[in-house]
Amino acid sequence: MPTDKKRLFKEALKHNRAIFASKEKMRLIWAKKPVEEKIAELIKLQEATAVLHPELRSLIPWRLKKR
Amino acid sequence: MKKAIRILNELVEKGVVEQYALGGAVAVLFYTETLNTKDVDVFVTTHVTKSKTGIVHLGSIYEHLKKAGYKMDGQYFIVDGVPVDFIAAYDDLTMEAVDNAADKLYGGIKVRVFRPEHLMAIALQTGRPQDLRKIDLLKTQTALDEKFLMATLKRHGLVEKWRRYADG
Repeated sequence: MPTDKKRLFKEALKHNRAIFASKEKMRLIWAKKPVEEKIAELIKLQEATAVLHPELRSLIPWRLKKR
Repeated sequence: MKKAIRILNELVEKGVVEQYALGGAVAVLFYTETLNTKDVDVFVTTHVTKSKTGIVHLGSIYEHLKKAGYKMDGQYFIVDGVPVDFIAAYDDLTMEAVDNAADKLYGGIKVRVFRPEHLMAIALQTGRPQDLRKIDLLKTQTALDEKFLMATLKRHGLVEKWRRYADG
């Protein structure tokens, strides 16, 4: 592998590790959010899934069935 | 969701069940980031009746909820749009988890939720890929009582499974 490419890959790996570590920190912050917010997120997630994949709507029982 | 919790508390107050606690993914959600699930698992210790075939019926709960006007959809009771799955505590571990559940608040209402250590032990016992994912989340995102976790695993013969999980 050319030295330049090797250097670039090394650089990218370093940045990826930093991004990954920062994402992990964010997840710890998300974990501490009030459970009410997390349930609201879950409902939003299911709504988004039903919009993107209407064929899955019948598999998603939460609030969506009412609509 | 609030309405569902109110009903669970009502089931205990009216003596329909002895005790309840949230388990499964919704309970995990109290301790970790949001994860997807399709229902709310409610573990109950109750005045169960066993048929001749040994099948446990949650008849008292079903009767109460049906009288209150709630409908079933497959195995779930739909309460305010939320599918609630009632599961009778089925072994010593789930029984212990219900008895020792933590008191939490949801929208200002008291709700009983499995302790994270019990959630981990049950997930380890069940061992499906989605259960192992729950263990990963609990392990990294919540403050666990390591001593209590190890004692629970030991009490319920799960130490070997834990070792295998820890070894990846």
